[in-house]
Amino acid sequence: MNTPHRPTIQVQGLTRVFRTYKKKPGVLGALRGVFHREYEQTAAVNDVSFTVEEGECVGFLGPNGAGKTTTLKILSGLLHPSSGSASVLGYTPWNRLIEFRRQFALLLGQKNQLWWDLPARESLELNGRIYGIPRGDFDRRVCYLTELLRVRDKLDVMVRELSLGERMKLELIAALLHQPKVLFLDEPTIGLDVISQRTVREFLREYNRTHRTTILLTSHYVADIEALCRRVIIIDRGSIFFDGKLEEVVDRFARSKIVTVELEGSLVPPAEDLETFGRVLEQTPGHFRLKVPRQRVVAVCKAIFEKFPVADLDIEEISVEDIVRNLFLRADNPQGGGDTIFSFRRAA
Amino acid sequence: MTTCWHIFNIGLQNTLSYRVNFFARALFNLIPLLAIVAMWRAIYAGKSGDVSGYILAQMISYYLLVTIVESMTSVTEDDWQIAAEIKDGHIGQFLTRPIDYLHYRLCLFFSGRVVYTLAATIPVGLFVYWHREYLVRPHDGVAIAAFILSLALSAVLQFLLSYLIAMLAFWVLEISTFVFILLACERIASGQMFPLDILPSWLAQAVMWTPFPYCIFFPVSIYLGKISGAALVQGLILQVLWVATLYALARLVWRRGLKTYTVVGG
Repeated sequence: MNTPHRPTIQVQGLTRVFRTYKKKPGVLGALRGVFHREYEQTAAVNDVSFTVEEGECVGFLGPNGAGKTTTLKILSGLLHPSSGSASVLGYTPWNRLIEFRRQFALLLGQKNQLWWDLPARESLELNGRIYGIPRGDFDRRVCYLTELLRVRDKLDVMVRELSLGERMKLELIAALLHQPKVLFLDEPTIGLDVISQRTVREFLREYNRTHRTTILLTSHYVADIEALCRRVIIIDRGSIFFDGKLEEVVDRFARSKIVTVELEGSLVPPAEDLETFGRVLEQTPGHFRLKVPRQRVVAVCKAIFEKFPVADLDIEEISVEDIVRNLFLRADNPQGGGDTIFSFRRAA
Repeated sequence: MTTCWHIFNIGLQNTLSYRVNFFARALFNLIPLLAIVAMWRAIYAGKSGDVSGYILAQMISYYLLVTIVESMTSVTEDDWQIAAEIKDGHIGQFLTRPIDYLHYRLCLFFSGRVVYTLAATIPVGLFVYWHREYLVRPHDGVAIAAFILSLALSAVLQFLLSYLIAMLAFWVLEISTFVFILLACERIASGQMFPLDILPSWLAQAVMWTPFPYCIFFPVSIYLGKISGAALVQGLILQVLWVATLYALARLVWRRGLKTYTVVGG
C-alpha cells in the first residue's frame, strides 16, 4: 500500500484573534464600560504556517506575548484558531478526539497537573489509569524516567514540598508516561536553577533521540533551544520571523561582524579613516571597535594591518543569544533602538 | 472504572486534609438545628395534637433524618473548586487528556461525601444519640431499599445542581452570588428547614415538580414511611428524571462553556 507522506504537524495560515475589552481609565471609564464597551482586536497568532516531521525537535523562540503559547494551545486543542488549519498526527486538534488525546502531551511550565497535597506517585498512578497503561509497562517507565531525571527518591514526597526543579521533572514524567508521539512543552525550564535546567535539557535530548518523539518547545532561553533543537522558529508579534537551522540564524540576521583592534601605544586614528572601514562603535586611545559587513571583513582587516601598528585584532561573530535579545528588545520598543549591530528584515 | 476508583481514592486522601474543616462544619450545622427543634417544642407546647400530620416526636425525627441525609449527600467544596478550575485554566489538563471532567468531578464528589460523612459521624452521632428516642426505625424493607436508592440519587442530584452553577464560571467572574441563590432555594424547597407537607397542599405539590425536594425531603419521607406505594414509585421516577435531565443539561452547558473558553477566551 502506498500512503502519501504526511508530516506529523502541519500548520497552514493559522491565525488567532483575541478580542480584548479596553477600559477607559478611572471610575467614569468603568461606568461607561457597563453600557458601552470598546473592544480591540489583537492577533496573537497571525498567518503562521510550518510543518514538523516525525522525530524532529523544533524550538519556538520569541519574546513574551509573541504568540508561542497560543500556537501550542491551538495545536493541543485548547484554543480554536480564528482561521487557518492545523493537523497533528492527522487529527484536527480542536476536535479533541479521545484517540488524539491519547497520543500527545502538553506541558505548561507555569501550570501544574500534579496533586499538590499528595506524593507525585499518586498523580503518576492516576495518569497510568487514565491512559490505560498496563502495570508492568507503567512500573518500567516510572523506573526509567525517574532514573534519567534523578528524582527516584522524590516519588513519595508531597508535591508541595518539592523544589520547583523536582516538581517540573515529575510533571515531565507524568506527561511522558503514556509515551506520547508528540510532546508540546511550554517553557519547561522556566524558573529552574542552572543544574536542573541542564538535567531537563539533557533528558529531553536523550528522550527525543531514543523515542523519536516529535517535540515542539517554547522557551525564551536560547540555551534551551541550542541544546535541544536543530531547527528553530522565531516568532515575533504573532508572525514567523525565521524558520530554519539554528546556525543559519547567525548568517541570516548577523550581516556584520565586530572587529576590535588594540593598537601599539595610545594612537588615536582619525575618525574619518575608520569610517571608511565600517561603522565605529567605540573608540578610545589605542582601541577601537568597528561593525563591518561580513563580506568586507577580510579586506578591512588587511587594510587595518597595513595602516596601523596593530597589537591585537579580534573578530567576533554575533551570537544567537545576542541576535535574539536584540530582536526582543526591538519587539518591546518598536520605535527602534538596539539596531546597531543587526539588520532585521521580516522573513515573510 | 478503575480510573474512577483511583480518582475516588486520590480524592479520599486529598479530602482528608479537610477533615477538621468538615468536622467543624458538621458541628456548627447543629446550632441552627437546635434552634429549630426548640422552636417546634415551643409551638407544640401551646397546643395538643399535630401540625399537618406531624406529632412532636415525628417532627423531631424528621429533623434528625434531615441532618443525616444532609451530611451524607450535600455538596461541600465541589462548586468552588470547579469554578476555580475553570477560571484559572486548570481544566486545560482535562481537555488534553483522555478523561471526562464531569465523571472525574463526580468521583471526587463521592470521595468528599465519604470523608464528610466520617467527619460528621461524631457530632451528628452524638446529636442523634441525645435525641435517640425520636429516631424511628424505617417502615419496612421496601422503605429501606427505596431510601438507600433515593439517597444515592439525591447525592447525584445535588452534585449536578452545584456543577451547573459552577459552570457559570465560564461566563461570569464571580459565581458566589449564584451559589448563594442555589443554597437559598435548596434550603427552602428541599425540606431542609421544614417538612414540605406543612405547606398548603397546592404549593407543596408545585414544589414537588422542582428538583429540590428530591435533594432531601423525598428520601427522608421514604424513611419515615410518609411516602409509599404508587407515590413512592412516582417520586423515584421523577427523581431519576431530574438526575437525567440535569446530567444532560450539565453536558450541554459544559460544551457551550468550552466553546466560549476555546473560541473567545484563552
